[in-house]
Amino acid sequence: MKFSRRKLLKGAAAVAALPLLESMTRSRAFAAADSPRFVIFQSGQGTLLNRWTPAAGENLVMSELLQGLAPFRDKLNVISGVNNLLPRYHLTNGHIAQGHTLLNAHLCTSSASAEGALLPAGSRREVSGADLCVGPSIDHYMASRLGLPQPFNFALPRQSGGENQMFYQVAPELPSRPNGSRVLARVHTDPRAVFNTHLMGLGGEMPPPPEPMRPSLATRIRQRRASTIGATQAVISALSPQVSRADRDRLEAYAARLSEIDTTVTPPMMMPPPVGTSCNPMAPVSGYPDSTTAHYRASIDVMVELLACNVTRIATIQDTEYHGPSFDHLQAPISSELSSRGAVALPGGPISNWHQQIHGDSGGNPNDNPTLRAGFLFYASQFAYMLERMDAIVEPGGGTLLDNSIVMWISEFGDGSSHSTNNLPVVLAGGACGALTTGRHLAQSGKSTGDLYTSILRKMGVPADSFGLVGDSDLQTGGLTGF
Amino acid sequence: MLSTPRVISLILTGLCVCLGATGCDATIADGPNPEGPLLPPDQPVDRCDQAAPAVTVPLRRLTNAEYQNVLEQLFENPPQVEMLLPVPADGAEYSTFARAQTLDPDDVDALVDVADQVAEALVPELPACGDDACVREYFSVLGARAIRRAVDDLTLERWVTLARDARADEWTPSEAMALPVVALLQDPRFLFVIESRADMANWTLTGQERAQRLALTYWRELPDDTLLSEAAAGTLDEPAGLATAAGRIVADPRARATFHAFIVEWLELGELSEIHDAPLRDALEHELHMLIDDAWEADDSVAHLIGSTRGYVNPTLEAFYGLPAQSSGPDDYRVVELPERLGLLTHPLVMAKGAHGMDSSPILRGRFLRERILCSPIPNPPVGAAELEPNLPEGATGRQKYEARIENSVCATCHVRLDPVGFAFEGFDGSGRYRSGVDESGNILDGGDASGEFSDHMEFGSMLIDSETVSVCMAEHWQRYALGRSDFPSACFDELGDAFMAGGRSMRNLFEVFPTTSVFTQRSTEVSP
Repeated sequence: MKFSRRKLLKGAAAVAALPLLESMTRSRAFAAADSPRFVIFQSGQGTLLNRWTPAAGENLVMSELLQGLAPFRDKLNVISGVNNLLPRYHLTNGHIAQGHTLLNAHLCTSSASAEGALLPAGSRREVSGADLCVGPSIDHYMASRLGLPQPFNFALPRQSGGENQMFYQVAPELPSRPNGSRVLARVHTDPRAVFNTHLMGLGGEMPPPPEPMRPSLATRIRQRRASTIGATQAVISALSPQVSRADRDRLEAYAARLSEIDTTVTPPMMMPPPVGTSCNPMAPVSGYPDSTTAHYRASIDVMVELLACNVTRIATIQDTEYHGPSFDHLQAPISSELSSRGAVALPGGPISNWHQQIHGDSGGNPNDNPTLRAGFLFYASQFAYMLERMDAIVEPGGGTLLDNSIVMWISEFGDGSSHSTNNLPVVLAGGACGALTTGRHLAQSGKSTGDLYTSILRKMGVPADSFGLVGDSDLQTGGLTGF
Repeated sequence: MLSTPRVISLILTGLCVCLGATGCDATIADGPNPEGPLLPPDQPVDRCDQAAPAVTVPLRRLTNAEYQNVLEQLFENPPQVEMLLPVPADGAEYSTFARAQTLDPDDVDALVDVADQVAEALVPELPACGDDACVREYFSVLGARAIRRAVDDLTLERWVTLARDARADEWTPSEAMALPVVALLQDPRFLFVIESRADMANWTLTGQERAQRLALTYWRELPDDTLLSEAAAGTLDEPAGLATAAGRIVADPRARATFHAFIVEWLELGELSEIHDAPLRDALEHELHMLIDDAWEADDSVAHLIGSTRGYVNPTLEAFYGLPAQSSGPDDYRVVELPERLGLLTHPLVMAKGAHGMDSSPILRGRFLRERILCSPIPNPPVGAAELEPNLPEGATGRQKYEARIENSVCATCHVRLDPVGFAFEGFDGSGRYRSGVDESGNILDGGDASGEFSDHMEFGSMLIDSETVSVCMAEHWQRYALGRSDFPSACFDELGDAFMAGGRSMRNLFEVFPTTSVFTQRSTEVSP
């Protein structure tokens, strides 16, 4: 199994070795909670559009696949008709370029020059799983423009890699990463480790034990990282001129990564929670990664608490298991936790061929396939849980956390059955601190992902005319209609 | 400068790539695509006009298995860290390929964390050096072994300084030794296999580099004392000395273990299907390894790997294969004849990977056979291929789907090369059980001297066994696995392929001959600016 026994052990080791040092180093970085928060939930394989798209007209009537979100109808904007046009610039056999470009609306290195510009058609390579993309994803770009720390990117249930590398930092161009590509964001797969590092002790839940007299050997070795990594960097500098260009690029990539490692270990620091804060974090329950539902719940809980405690203003959750989720937790009878949010049971046992069924390769019309409906309703139920949690947190300045956020649910395809990146299913929940009118279905025509993100940036207080690749005239039209 | 023969072979490689795929690659821009073409109209129709990439594969890192083995060579009691090291990335042909070893933030985090943890765990066995001279002496020996070259003075002094500063900060002398160990384990000369030179396009490996290659390739660890002294004496620079060293190395059980690891990756069995329950899967894996052992011992390994009818069964497998219960217990694997078996090719673990649940998939099996057995892969389907899928009722057989699929000329160009090869194994269901009475006829198009029609899997099997294309393909895959790259001019494969045929297709013989071929002793790369 690829999921990270390493990461689990690593999380456990970090807890054991660093009971306090790390956990206390993060404090609330922001004084005010009155500017909106931004969240992305990304699920795979699109949807069944004629069961997802709400009826025509601006007054939002919940469609079949959005039923689980009915309790939040008045806090939603459902956006239909947004296209990801970037696959036109890629040679690809399916999901890869879509997965890469969904959130950055830009090129991949397989179709970009060293400066990040579009290559002529004959010079573009097929996109492979290892190809990175040009330009940061919307969450990291937004954080950078707003002067915020990096967003928290969660992935579940397995690992961040594979074909859906969607999250990119704003980072300087590295010589080892040609073609304008950016750096993949750090993705968190273990919500408990995130809790231990960033939330434990906040909100007055857990008073800090006194600092030990002498840190453990493990901590002391870690505290010397600046020296040990410095020694390694010196070796690489001396070695690089002696090897071939390809080897040198790789060694320099290693050096660049080493230089990104956080070598600062600051003393423990405790700040009382601000008066009237809604920060009251609870450690996530166990049960993951064995249980998909528990893993979802824990990731959502921790993500919401990071927002409530002001540890971050921007966070994302990506379901990376787009290829072969078995949905074994949807076997009848399903838990009330799921059914109360609109999820339904699979017609049979766990499935082994989700991907084939999506594309109709297993026979029949995908639109009439009850397995697919169950899968997509499950994603809706988890988005509903996220909204429920956010709406339960009343903020000191008025309104709930949900009211003071934009929470976007999106997928890389429209109709998954046809590999189409047109008509993406987009739901925007929350009112952005009153900046956004809700309860609407906004049907778009001729609008791109660049337009979608441009509009969101403006509602978040970032002046923007475009986002992502500015190329063909239909890529950027300056924002959504009626937003 | 490239030598003339090399230029020609590079050109030929480009040609071979094109010939292999001509006519079998299509854009669906003209197909009935309701969303409009996903490929722009000016996109090349034929992917084979993309020339083979220049030789720019960068240096590889020690694999996780090698890392652990090397720790055990260097230290008395190192911790087990294989599972803590970076997870190999998907999409590389073999785990030894540099592209399987990404350097993303998580990967480098893991490498740095592991270095810290190993060093901490080793403190009890590190010498309690109270002064610089002691530290210097210890790490000049250990370091040379670890970084596969004499430790330069600058590096040594950096390590000595790390320990000295820690002692000054009231670390115990052995604790202070942990810091040079951390630096050592982060050192690129430890982590990476460095062979290239700046500004040199072609070069011959030194004796020390040959020793490193031999040990890593066959034992997945660093050279032992014998190899190091052979390298120092210059023995490995001569073909005869190299052959002698190879003979010793290949006779060692560690070489057989490497053969097992290679065959498992060659068969794409890194992750097993879950169609078999855990006890059955374990028994099948045990049988698989006994069959791999047979192929290692055999004079004609190819015939064993793709043609043997032998099976090994314990009570679990007797029940699975429907054989009489004669095994005396779970550990008693008795030899049986399975008349329908074609070596490892039809082993249930392999068949289960070429299936969707219990439904056999001629497409998946055809892809596997073309890539791994015929060395004549089919490109990935174009964007939107799924839209062109014929709409057939649930329960349609693979053959019916195929007949409908090739009605569309766009699909037919590739699928006529794909499905009819996979049809050979239609008699094996998704669990790998043989079911008689299923149509197994098909044909191999563009499969070199293995091409032709066959009426059932046994005839298909004898076409493969008799084929030089298939035999040379086997040698080619070993070369790719061993060197962690696939971008060789075809002439480089020919050398080993010819040697493999001349040696009667014995894998042990191939292992011994390989180090004396030019692709093992020579390297080339682009000229650095």
